[in-house]
Amino acid sequence: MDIRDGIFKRLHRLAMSDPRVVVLSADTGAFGLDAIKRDCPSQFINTGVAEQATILVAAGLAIEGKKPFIFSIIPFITLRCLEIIKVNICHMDLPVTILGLGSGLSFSYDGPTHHATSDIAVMRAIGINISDPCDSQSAGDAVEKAYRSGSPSYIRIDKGEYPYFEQENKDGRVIIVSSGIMIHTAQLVASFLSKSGGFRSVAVNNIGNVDFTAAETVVILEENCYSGGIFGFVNKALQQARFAGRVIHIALPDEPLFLYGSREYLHEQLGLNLRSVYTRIKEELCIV
Amino acid sequence: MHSIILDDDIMRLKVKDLKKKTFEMVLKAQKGHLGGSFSSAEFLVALYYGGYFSYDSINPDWSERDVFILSKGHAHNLFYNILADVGYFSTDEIDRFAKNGSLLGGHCDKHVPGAEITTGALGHGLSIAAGLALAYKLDGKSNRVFVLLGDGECQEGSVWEALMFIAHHKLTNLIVVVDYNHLGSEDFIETTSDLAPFHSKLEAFGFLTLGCNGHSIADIMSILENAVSNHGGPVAIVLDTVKGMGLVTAGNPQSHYILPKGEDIDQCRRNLENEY
Repeated sequence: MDIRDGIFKRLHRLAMSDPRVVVLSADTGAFGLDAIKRDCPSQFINTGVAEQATILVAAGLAIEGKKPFIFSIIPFITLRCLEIIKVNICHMDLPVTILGLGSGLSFSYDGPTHHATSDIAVMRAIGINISDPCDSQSAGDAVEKAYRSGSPSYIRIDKGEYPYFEQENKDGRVIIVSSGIMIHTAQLVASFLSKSGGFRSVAVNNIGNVDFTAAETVVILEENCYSGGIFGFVNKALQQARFAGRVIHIALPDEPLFLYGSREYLHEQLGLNLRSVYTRIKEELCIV
Repeated sequence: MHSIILDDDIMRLKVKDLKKKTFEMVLKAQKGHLGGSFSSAEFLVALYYGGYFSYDSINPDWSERDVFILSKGHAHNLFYNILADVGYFSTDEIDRFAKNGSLLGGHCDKHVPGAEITTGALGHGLSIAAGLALAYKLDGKSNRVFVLLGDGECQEGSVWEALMFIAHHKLTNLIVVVDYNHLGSEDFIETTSDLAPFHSKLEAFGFLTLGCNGHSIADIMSILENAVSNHGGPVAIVLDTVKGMGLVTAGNPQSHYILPKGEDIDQCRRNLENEY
């Protein structure tokens, strides 16, 4: 199942069972939204091309007991609306969930206005719970978790079908921490290097369960810019675990990417495709 | 100055030619936005070939040029074709649109010769245009700034902040143009967050507001002539248009980014051939 369907099927189910669920789209469409529009018309509002107003309308709805889910494209609904989210959703601790479409470079042809490579660090800094699902199962679970939490939540939505990622809580010598669809790359690299011993792939949201005692190296792999992604979150966890080993950070540069083409092409050019990541880690760790 | 000036009849043929090229470009790449390109085609042609807008495609940074900002970045496909046609870059770039490593991507960025700023995020262009116009005014320069917005884009609050600023600072060197095609990305603006009465709102914000059929070259040329005259205050032009004019999906929400398929492709080609 496509990650987007994982989001919207679960949201549809919640909307059907709880009339407090209200979905607001800032004039952004998705195939999976159509069922919600059809079956729960009074719980769906297209707010127009007005992201900032959408956030504030959701805040008002939430104050009166609704459970708003906002849907729009990541840069427009996060960075553009940042102060409004900070004050009126986060500081007021409202049960508003932002569903942001287009994680990382998934809008690869649309250029830097549509890339989402700095939203994680920025949104984390204003105190919102972030989910960056890597498959349809974790996407649906993120919606459920946000609904139940009653707290400000932000879910990034990627596109495409990916295999279910099952987290292993084993310790390891080299731990590759990743997020979103890059988890699949991390997992493949860890399996390719398994004969070198002790490679583990870990989803960033599970980092609290990882035992770093035996770890010598932590690789942070992400489709975000160096300063805009999961590094701060991982670094905090590593400090808490008193990790004293080596950290290798594989990420995008801290600059707009005026580069067009398929996502695979961009990954190849920017060192994030499977071959580049595999080679980079081997070289960094002097594995022959 | 290196620009092209055509008479109205030739401009109509230019619209036809550029829309056909835009259609094939998008079809080939299977990427792009035809709807917004085709609602603003006549205006863009009238601007670039009508003589009221001074530019130099050989020297894009010419200091005496007028500035055009495509704030509704979704009209990039037709805009790219115009920029190539008037000589900012080779038409080979059109063939490479959205290919790996291409110059031209899904939204216009500042590296494209002839594009002044990066657009694609809506509601940004008008305030930048205001800043440019203010700079020209402060420096006593006569350069004009034209900016094209979409009506859906006018749902963004930042547009109204810019309108107040432009009127307050009496930026008569800035012409605001709105492609009023009644559609956003997903639905009619009348259904989502209606702008009506739009003309009255612009007038209340201090703009002399001129309206015309946005698919008539003659009407657009006449209104541009009026707009560039000094009225002592800011001017807005509202173009009454049909989104995706010429497409099978013209005037309905599918015209924004859903590309024609199957028999619709040939029907669209026939429509574009017979439009002018």
